[in-house]
Amino acid sequence: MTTVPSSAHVRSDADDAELVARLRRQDEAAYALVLEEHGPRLLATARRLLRNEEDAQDAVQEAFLAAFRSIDSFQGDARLSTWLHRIVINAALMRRRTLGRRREGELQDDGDLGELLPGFNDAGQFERAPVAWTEPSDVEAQRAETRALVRQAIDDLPESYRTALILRDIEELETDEVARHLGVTSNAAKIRVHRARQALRTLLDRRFDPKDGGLVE
Amino acid sequence: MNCPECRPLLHEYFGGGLTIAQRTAIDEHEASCASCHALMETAREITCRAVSDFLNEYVDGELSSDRRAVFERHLAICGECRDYLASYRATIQLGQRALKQGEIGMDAKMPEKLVLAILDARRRSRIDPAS
Repeated sequence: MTTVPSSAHVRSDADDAELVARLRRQDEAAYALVLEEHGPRLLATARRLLRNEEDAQDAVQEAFLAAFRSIDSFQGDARLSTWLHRIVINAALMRRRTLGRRREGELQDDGDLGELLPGFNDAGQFERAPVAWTEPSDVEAQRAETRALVRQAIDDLPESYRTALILRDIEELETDEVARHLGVTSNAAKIRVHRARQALRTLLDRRFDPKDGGLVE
Repeated sequence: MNCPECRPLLHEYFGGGLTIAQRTAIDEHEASCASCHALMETAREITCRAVSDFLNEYVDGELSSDRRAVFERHLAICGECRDYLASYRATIQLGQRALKQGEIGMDAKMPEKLVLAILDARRRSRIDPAS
């Protein structure tokens, strides 16, 4: 079963069952409770995938309304949080496909990405030795400017790779589920996530200047 | 040639470099030195490219135990792949920290206007199932 990133609240299966029963009875207070408990995390997911506040809020609204409409189909084999998480990802990706915007500065698929992947000689050795990084300490990784720099590098990835990376590493979906959301095979999803990580690594390598006390030695 | 002379040359040896005389000296040393022979056999098992290609499966714990053992033997003798692996892991970690904090992470809050809009839309859809 897919897990979702840890959240502030922890509900038991029994709590879920009771809440779902109340939603099925169309209990007004239960709707508000679901929004209060699950809304913030679902909005964060939509913001990560869409990067536009209005689009993210629209996707969250669509997702909750879809969930309320189809609450009878909730099986209880997944947690309510997991089910809602899946629905908001669907809503966000559907919205992005509909909008079809290309971001300024976004790299093109494969053409630009190839330059960000490691190169090898005929003997299968690195053409350029990878630069050793120092371990990113908690303090370093939590610095606002470091986070902003990493976010910018992630945003520079071609959209399909950025989405694959977010679904796997941030939303913590299993590879099969990433594949389902992307409409590709599991192997293709695995390769896309891997290349996205490799490309991001190269972008970070270029952006963290050791003279600025960055991550490279 | 002895072991301290042989080992610093192995990276270039496997990359196809060195003079014929140097390569011959290494071949002769390997034939007489069990320790360097074992090291060179490990290097022949898998290339850096193959390690890089399947690094995600290594990091995500998806390799078979045999394949994992091959990776680990390679990592034990290859500083470049160790550096690449460490930075690959750090990249994942940095991405997680960057996108799980602030308004796109744990601190996200539902705007009251959005909550009210959802509750209102739900009520209206109940009255008018077509909406």
